[in-house]
Amino acid sequence: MSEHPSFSGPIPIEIKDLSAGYEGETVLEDINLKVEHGEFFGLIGPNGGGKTTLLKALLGLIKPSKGRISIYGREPREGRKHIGYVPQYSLFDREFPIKVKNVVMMGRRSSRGMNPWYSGKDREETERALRSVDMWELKDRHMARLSGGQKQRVFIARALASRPKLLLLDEPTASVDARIEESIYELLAHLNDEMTIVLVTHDIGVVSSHVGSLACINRHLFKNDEPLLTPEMLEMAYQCPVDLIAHGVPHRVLPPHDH
Amino acid sequence: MTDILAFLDLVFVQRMFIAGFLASLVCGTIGTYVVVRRNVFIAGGISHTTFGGIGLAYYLQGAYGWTWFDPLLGAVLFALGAAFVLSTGWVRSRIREDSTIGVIWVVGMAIGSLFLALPESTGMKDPTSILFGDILLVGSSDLYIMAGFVLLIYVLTILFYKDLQILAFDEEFARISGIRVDMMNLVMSILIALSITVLIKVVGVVLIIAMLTIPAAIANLFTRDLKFMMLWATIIGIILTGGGSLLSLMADTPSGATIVLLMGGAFLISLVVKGAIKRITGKVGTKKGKSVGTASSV
Repeated sequence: MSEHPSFSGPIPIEIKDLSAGYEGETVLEDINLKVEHGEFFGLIGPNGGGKTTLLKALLGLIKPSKGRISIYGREPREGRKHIGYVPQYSLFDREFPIKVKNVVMMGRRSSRGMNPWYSGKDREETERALRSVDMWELKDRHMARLSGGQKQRVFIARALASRPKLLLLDEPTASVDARIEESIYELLAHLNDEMTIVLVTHDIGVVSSHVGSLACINRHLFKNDEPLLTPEMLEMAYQCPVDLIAHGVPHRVLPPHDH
Repeated sequence: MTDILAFLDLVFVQRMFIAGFLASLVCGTIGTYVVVRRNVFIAGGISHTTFGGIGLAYYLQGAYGWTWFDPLLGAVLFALGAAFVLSTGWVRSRIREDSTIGVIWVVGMAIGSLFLALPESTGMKDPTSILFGDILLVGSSDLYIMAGFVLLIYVLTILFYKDLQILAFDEEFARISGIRVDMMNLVMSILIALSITVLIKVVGVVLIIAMLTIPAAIANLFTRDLKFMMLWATIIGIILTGGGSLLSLMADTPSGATIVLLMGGAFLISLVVKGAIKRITGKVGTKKGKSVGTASSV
């Protein structure tokens, strides 16, 4: 793809024969997946299909019951230092007293280690991250007073503050309107020049017009080499008919019919 | 006015103000964490558990002549015990947290009242000052113990400030960033336990929740930064604890109850003021403004 320095060495994500779940209940089974350097990878699936479980496994928060995951050639708990994780912002406490810049500064924790203070370098990286998502002017704003799209940008900045090689996003455009959604995808496309991006969503219509490759997940994982959803993938993933064309996305996500 | 000045010369009144000041330092910092992490019920559980330790101390003093076993020592032992129980992975993975809190809460209270009822127990047979506090009964040795705990609390809070902030805001992110979340939760529970020990003499076991909640909750209405929330909560605590103590002295009312009622009143007024500010500055949140309006007319 590109020749950016972060696109070298072992590949960002390699999953082999992974099964995972909670207390004996298997949520994911026999997952195999490779994400290459510089990819913009979309992972879609219904709610309860195991998206969150896969994210947790990638971040080393749960241990697989079978198989293995490597992040840049290492165990997730080691490799996750290269991951910038962007959670769903809507899950946060609105009343929490915190300014934009302090949220972004949290992204420096993994580099900072046990040192109780933030360094000049931490502040520099925080500024750089905020500028790269166009939020530097609002650095002193209380989080509660931001719009949904702005909050999402702040959480992206927090992820960027650790200079990740891989950006992992959970439902980045949930509960924002279409215009904001578009601007967030523009930002991600821009960031994709320097880092690999994986995003997880249940919103098929939108994601498939932005990503470079795509997989469906619903207990099992179904991947196509092109960013196209085949009717087979959809049926297996959702087990119900899904109307894709009605979304009015810029290009077709279903391959043209031959008849 | 001369009455008040005469009061201020008395040693026990000076102690009262120092105790109130030390208590406020705690409700500013730890109270802020308790409020933003929604740990109010945990604080309630730990504080009520200490009643057992206090009862035990009076029993040991009377039955075995262990005069060194100070009620505050009993309190801190039980508080730390409760903190460990609440943080243990074994307990956390098997029992819902609020059930655990409920159990240690009542068991602690029951142990306390049992020991106090035994004929060997010395000291107060009437548990009122333990339950509701009596800031006028603070002795100089209590002040040293309190000051020691406050120092320890501040050292731990400053050392772990950044991590506690991340943890309070986003536990999952804390885990990913390499923060040992279970260890930090234990540190947090220990901090709450130590704070409660500081506060017992001032407002008593039952009213501690007010000290750990109200100043921080008021500060939360007006600030957008955790550090400043701590600072404001401390200042608000100093004013309300000092004012409440003075009021109780002049009106001859119980100190703990007076301080807490003053705090409750201040909280209500703050809500009204906050609502008014919102309406004047024309910010959104009209829903909040309305509900505050009805609250003020009650």
